[in-house]
Amino acid sequence: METLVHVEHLSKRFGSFEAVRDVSFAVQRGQVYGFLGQNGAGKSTTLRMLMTLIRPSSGSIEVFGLDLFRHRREILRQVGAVIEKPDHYGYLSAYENLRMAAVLCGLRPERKKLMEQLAFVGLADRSQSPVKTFSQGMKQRLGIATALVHDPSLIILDEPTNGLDPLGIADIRDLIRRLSREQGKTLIVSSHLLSEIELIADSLLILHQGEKRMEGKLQDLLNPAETVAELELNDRQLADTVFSQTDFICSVDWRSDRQCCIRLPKNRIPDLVHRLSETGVAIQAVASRHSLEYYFLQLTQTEPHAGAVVD
Amino acid sequence: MLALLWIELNKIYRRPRTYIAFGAMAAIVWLIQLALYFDGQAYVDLLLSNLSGSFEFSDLFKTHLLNGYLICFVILNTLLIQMPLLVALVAGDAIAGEAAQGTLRFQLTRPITRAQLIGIKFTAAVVYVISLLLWLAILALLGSVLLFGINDLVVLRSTGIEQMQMDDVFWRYLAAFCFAAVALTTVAALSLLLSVLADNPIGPIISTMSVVIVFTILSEMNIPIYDTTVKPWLFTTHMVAWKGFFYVQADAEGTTIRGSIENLPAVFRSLGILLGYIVLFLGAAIYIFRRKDILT
Repeated sequence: METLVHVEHLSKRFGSFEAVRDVSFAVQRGQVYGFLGQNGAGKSTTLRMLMTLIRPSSGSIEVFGLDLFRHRREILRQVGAVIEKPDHYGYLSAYENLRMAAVLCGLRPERKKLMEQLAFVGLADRSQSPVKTFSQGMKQRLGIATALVHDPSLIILDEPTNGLDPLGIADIRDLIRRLSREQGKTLIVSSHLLSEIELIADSLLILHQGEKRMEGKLQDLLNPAETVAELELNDRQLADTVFSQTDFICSVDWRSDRQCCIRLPKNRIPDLVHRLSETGVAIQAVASRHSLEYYFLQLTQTEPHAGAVVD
Repeated sequence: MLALLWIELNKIYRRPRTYIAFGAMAAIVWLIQLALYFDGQAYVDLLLSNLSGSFEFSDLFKTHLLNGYLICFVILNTLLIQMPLLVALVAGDAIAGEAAQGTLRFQLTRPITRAQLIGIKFTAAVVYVISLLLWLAILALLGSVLLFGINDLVVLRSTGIEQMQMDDVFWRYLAAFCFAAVALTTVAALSLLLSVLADNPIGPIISTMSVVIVFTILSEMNIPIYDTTVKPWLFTTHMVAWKGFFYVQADAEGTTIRGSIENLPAVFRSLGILLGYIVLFLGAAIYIFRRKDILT
């Protein structure tokens, strides 16, 4: 597979504050690559560096095999982006904003082509309306249209579902899938919403406090046969004995003296419950936890866990 | 590049606030013209009262004095001091306004260089300056000529009066307007430089006006030490050099020489200094902008 984006030891300092620290990752052609992290994790700063809005303090970025800052124009001709939120000229129409984006990309846009782009994002019937009358979702879709206007092979979308209602989120998700599957585009999508990234991304980079915590394929990370059970128990010591004697448990993570998360095969939860009950451990609550959420929290929790992870 | 410039101009001229400047200029010019139309003779008497000790003026001279050319000169004297504010409103907004609006990201994530963007913004600001001056020419020169007619132009100076024959005046106005374009472009370049440093347009607009006001005060102050050390290098000192086109040479008998300019080298020197400032401001704007992190 061809590597489209190759980032090595990227760091960015703002005075004494280090927003991004020694981050490296690679994005392959055709992937939907998810950037996951809490607010302030360094996602936007990294994406801004990828779009040359910010100069890195150190490290290198190669896009299409070329040094980004030496071949900026050449690279940006093949990259479309919406960074943070799509901002347009409110007094201009959607069509005029899109036309402006096309001209800025060095194109001589035909009306028909621009209207097709607007139709692709579902804005054809509002092409002549001033953008200031648009809802957040419509602005987001227009932002994507302006990012796509020059038919880029790499698309960078920073928090594309921010401020959208559930219907708008589904629209954008559908749009990202179509771009990836129907048009074979490579996308880098950042979000702080785990569920969004899980639904659209092939690969994932987790950032926390400016540092990379994990990079990998989602399918490797999320074993579909496994789940995470969150248990509330009355006796930690006794429960630990049961866990150590149970061979199908993948990991145990104590959150407090009474609460723990157990990673185990999906079909073995009843067995575990049965064993605990048999040994006399009272189970006060059982909940199945979203596995990516569990994984993310494990990677990004700043406070030390109440218990050690047993593998 | 032309397409990008067209976009930039489209943005400037599609904004309603751009026309505030045109409206304000029209209001001032019309108020001056209206006042002089109804009470022009009193104004002429007031002007000449300072010179009456050393000169005698016939009634015919006084009647001919108040004509379109003189009124245009009066208007230029009044307005060219205020116009930097109108220029700063657009040039100061060029980068900082886009940054505040978030549209700077929209532009800088496209395959154009930052130097190109500054170049386009600057060119658009120059076009705006020219359009303001054309508007002023239509209102002040054409309007006054149509309303008051033409005659010889008499310009009052502290040293006496300058009289130019009516067919020797129009080209001087053309030259003065061209010079004013360079002078106001200097303000536009300063405003653009300050705009690069800010993320909100209010700062650069106010800063530009503050610089112009402080420099103008320094230019006007009669402190000997400043006359040779500071004043010659302030761009505001040279912004008023357009008046040089209306100061004429006289022959041995005291008759003004047609087509002459009293001190052409001084006018060119002022022009050179203003152009130097434009290059300096623009160069600094490009240098800073190329290194600036876009965080808005």
